[in-house]
Amino acid sequence: MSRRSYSKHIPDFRLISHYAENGRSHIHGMNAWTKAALLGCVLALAIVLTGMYLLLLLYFLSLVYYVVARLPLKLLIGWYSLPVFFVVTLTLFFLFTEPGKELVSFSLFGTRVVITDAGVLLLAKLMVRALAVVTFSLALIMTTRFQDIGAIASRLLPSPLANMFLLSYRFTFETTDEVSDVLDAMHSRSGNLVRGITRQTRMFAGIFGLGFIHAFERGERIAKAMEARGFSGKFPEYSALARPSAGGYAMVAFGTACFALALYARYFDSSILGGM
Amino acid sequence: MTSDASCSVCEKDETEIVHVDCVSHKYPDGTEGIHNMCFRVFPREIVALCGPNGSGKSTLIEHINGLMMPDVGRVRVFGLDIDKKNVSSIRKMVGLIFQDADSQLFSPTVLEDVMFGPLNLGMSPEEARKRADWALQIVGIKETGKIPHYLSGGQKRLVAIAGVLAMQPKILVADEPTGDLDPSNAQRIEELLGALKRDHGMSVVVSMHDMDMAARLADRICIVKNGSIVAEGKPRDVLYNDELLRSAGLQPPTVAKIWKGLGLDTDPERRPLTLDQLMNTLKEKRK
Amino acid sequence: MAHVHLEDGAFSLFWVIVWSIAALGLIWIAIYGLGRRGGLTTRKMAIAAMCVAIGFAIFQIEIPIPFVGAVHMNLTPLIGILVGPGLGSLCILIINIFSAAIGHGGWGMIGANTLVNLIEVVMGFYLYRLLRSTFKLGRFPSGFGAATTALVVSAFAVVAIVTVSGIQDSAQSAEGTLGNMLLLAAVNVVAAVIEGVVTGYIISFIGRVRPDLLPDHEHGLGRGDGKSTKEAIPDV
Repeated sequence: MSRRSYSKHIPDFRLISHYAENGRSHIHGMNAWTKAALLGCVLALAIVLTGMYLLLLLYFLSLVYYVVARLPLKLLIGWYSLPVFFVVTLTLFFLFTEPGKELVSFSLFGTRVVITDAGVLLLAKLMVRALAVVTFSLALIMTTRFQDIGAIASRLLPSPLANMFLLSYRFTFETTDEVSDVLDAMHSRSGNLVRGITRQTRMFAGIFGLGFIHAFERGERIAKAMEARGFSGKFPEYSALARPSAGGYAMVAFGTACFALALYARYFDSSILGGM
Repeated sequence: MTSDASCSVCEKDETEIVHVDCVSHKYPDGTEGIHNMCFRVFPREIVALCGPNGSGKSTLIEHINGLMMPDVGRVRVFGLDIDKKNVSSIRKMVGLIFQDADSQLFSPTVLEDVMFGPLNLGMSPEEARKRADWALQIVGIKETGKIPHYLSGGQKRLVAIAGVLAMQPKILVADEPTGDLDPSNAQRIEELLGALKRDHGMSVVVSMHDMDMAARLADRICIVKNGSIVAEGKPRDVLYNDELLRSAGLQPPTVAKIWKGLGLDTDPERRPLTLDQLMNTLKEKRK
Repeated sequence: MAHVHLEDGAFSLFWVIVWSIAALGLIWIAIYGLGRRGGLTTRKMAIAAMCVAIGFAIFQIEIPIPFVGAVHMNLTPLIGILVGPGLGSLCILIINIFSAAIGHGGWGMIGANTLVNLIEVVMGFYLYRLLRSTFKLGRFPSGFGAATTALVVSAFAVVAIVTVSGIQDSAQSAEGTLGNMLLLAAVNVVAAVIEGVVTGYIISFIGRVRPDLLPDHEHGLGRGDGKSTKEAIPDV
């Protein structure tokens, strides 16, 4: 079974679950509901806050949370690739078109191109917002055991969705390994050399097609196994996920209060936060 | 040993607990899964279903616990004809272990997967947990908090068995339980199946094409070919019938080959079924 | 698979809520529709879940394309073709939840992304069936046509959503935002064609190996027409 993670810039669920199941830190010991609620607070704050300093503070706190969880920073930097890429691809054009004070100008194919301060600030703010949430989200899933994530999903999602979520999360490991193994087999026969678009596309299409066929067949086997053990449409609740502690409630209350303050400042009285 | 089992087996026997009564099943693409299949299971016995790939063993097995319904014929389990209304009660009595262990372990952890069946039976989480602990102890698995994906092949198979055992079925049906396991894990599974009959009073139906294992384990052997049972009987009769086995695409067990090769097959009652029996008999003869 | 390609914080709270409610409404319709058409059987649920798992696994693969670089794809139109629009809707919602968890698109963007992917799933399914049954095209052209069209439409849906919502902290007018987004859409259209080709080849492959999995087969799982509740029955 291949354990190779085949993309350094996309988080691999196998690696994520390794840290979640084997990690030992205060964050690992935190109640899963508390962590989920805090993610909600971070998300809400990232959306509502507009001041650069407060956004940087939010990101810094998320990063501290990640570090306290004893999670690898090097991995995180690699995993920032896609969020950064998304923010840049969107705001790249806004860099040049956002009205503001001119910072840099140059000529491109005979056209004068200007980068404005507002464009740079827009890019920076979107980047910080995005990375604050991404960091916290990754820290959450890398410190929360699979069964707790499953318990949360069972409570929050309607049962058809919850069932699908649990099964697909559970079998992501198998399908990732299977695809990894096929790619390893391909690489071992020099299949990684690019030999023309058509041939390349057909090769990957075959791999993906086989993956979907196996997915169907596996799904059929799983369904039979579930029915054979009396499954009646809803995954049973194995054990109740404990409620947050008093400390957990306090943290969530604090986060919610921060959000309420930020919301008030944004839409009613911006002087409350001192223009930060 | 009966070599034409299609009619005489269908006579009622009060002691039977499963009766597959002249069942036929065709797949929608026209492939015949099983044809006029007659098969019985009695209390406290291990029955081996032996046949090559595609002979209909898995199709028969899936009829026994109602996953498939017959086109013709009926399946009776503990006196009940399986139909859509009683299939859930049937599944409490007949536990089924599939060939692919991976597809049977769909819960987040080993313990939760084994609790899955008891919870579906309506037990409370506490009762289900006790049942799961009991089942895991029987199969000898201690890694109860692990994600099933990270278990070895043998461990996955044992957890799959525990998941079914936790429902405390009266009959356990296993589809090639040692198929892709190394010898050590295969032996562990084999010993477990024997212990389930011996210590827990279960009847066990096992499909396989390993005739050495059939010789060691089974009380009765059914040869499946082209969707029907073409022969059944005691291991000493079936496993020493080279012609029958070859016609069904099977190999005689090693013990039988050696015994016959040495020219010692004069008394069917003395035919060894295990290497230990063979060794002991040869030692006696040397004396 | 097109994405809004935006992370959290890009839309204001109001628009996050609007798109989330819209997406939830459509998902509710999908669940309701599935319930009316015979329910979400264990088999359909398991197969759809496996499609999510494989779709997510495939997304992690970098496909090197000469002169383009590397692309990633989720194959959402393919998922719609295989499991139908109802189940496909649930699949893409779960894929978006997984994606948000790992930072590929924001949690607040799940609503907007789900709307975009719903277009891909629904159009992929119905266009494929139309091209196969009405225009009698082969599997490759049907798969290619359906996937490419669905993805191009969804690329412009992204433009519409972002233009309507605006980007937080941007002082640009809607016209300015539209102009920028149209440039991005052009890139997405190129990606759509690539994914369309891959989808066409995959459909051809599946058609050779397991034609019963395709909706043009009488027993296809993604039949979705409500006329028959007969499920796809596997080859032995």
